[in-house]
Amino acid sequence: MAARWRRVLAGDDRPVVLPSGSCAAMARHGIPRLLGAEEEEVAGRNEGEAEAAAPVYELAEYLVEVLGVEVEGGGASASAAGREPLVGGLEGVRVAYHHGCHALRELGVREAPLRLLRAAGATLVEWTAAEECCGFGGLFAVKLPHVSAAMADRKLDALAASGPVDVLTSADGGCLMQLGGRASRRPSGPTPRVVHLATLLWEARGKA
Amino acid sequence: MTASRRSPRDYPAESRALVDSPVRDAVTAATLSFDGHRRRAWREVDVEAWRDWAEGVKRHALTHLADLLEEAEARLVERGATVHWAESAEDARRIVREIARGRVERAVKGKSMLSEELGVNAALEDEGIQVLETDLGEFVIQLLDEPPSHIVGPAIHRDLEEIQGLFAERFGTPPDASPEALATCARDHLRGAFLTAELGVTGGNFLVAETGSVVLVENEGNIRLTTSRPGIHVALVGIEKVLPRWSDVAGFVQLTTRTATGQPVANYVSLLQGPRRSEPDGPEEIHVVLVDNGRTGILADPVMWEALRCVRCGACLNVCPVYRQTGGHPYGFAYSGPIGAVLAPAFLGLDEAKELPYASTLCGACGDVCPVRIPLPELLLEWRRRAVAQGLAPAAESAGIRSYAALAKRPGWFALAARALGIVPGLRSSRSLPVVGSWVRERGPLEPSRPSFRPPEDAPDEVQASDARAPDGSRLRDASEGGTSP
Repeated sequence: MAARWRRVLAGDDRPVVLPSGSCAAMARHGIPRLLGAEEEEVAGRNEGEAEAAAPVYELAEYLVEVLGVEVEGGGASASAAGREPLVGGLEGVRVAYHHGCHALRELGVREAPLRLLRAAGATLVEWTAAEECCGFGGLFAVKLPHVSAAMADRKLDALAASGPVDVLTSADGGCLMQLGGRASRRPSGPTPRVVHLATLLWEARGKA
Repeated sequence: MTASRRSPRDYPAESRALVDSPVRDAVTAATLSFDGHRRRAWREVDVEAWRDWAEGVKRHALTHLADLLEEAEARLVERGATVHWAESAEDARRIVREIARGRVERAVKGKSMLSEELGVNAALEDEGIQVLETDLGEFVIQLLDEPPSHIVGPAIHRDLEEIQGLFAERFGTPPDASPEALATCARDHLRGAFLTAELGVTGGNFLVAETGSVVLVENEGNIRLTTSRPGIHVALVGIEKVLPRWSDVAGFVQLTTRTATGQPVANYVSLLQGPRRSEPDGPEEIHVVLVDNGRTGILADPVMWEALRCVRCGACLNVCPVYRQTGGHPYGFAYSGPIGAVLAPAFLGLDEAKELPYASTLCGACGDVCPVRIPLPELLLEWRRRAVAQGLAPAAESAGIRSYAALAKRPGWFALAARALGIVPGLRSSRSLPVVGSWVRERGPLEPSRPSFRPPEDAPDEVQASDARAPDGSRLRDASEGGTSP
């Protein structure tokens, strides 16, 4: 799969933007490492990572750090690129952001999604377990489903304890499947709407 | 002790049982508390510089281990200690038994995870010696006949109510006794033992090569007493605990205590530097048992040797979102949590311990808090690579992943499979099919998104901005086209 990635993108230096922290981490670090290891085996070269191809970004990271969309008035780069600034649309909406592990720890993306939500006027809810793993972990979710569910329960309990929340959002589809799915199985209490950051911001843009 | 019947193979079943028990809340509360203290203590110092320094010292020490161990032995012998070399756990047990044989009726012990790893307590008990754990947490689990659940706090899996019940039953304390009253009860129970035990046993947090000093840190004073009154002392020290210089001690003690419990320094720091000479207290005989038990094998592993830097602070356990759901027992090994999951395959073999590297979501929290920068997530992933390469991963799992890869490399097939998932009745909501069933039972049916994020099959490879669609099917428009809504 890594080889296919390299083949498909060969010669294309446009940035690759992924609406998924785990996919972006894989594309930025995992794939070069796999390809580098493979090359090392084949050619005996001592390369840690293969030569990087096009730059890879997670979506929020790209919107904030490259396009500068969240700054009031758009920022020079946003206007110059002919893009509209992200302003308002989520006023009065209480949003809890879940920091997926790959985006947070492997890509160092922590502020960008929060800045986008603030620019959209959302009320960001502080909650104690915001940066803890949701328990998805890919294969882990089906290899150790009970521990995985317990991890999701911990997040959802912490969220419920933080006060009223309208929307739970994140930059990772796997995390959202995990938390949203588990929320639908829990016996009690109102649950927030669980939606991807891109969808939430798109809706905000529609209402602005 | 039931310790010898435990195995990492039981992790899936054991963890399943514990997530619904009081252990989950007790361990979560304790680990969050430890981690909160660590964060505060780390903020007070230039911790990244400390971590870089500590990693460097340990890398150097491990790279020169043989020379440093010989230097340590020479200094220890000069000071009058007896040095023993134990290649295996069986050697270590034999050495301790021979030291004690015929001379010891009762032994007092400071907390030592190495003694747990080696099974030393059982060896002494086989000689008819009464062994008393003097660390309060170890005292509790000894009463319960349980193995430790955490590297630093062995009894964190038991809450106050359970311990109150235990002490009421064994010692007649009131059922609502305060923590202070429980500690006083244990103290009274143990004080006599300190005064009459012939043998004291501890581990060793560090062994300084330059001076032959065994460094011991603690909060309760039980190690002070253990090393003061009994005439014979045995210190069990893993060979990887060596520090090259006396000047390394201050930094390592402070970094370890700040990371483990948030303390700038432990309440007591004790240095064993040989038997008593003219002092009124202290053992007449000191035995230092240098233990290998697989460590040189790990040292020879070009990837896993990094795990030997471990200072046993427990920080990785304190941040692990998987560990905190169950505590340490399901790991079936002396060491649990992320470091346990890395060490178990190294000590026990991958076939015996292969469940543990998968008892992780690879979230990365552990690597962020290791004071000596052990790349724990990378080591867990490396164990998985080795398990697959050695054919130890379950056949169905490997076949499933290969099938997924075959689909993922062929967009047409992938699209077909995705559509099947949406159309075939029961596929998305089955509670009994493999994989899907495991998902659905805990999280409900899989719901595909409508419309799909994938472009239609007949879309050109290069999708123009004007062709892109929003979730509601409306066209995306460039700002240059004017208007603010789609």
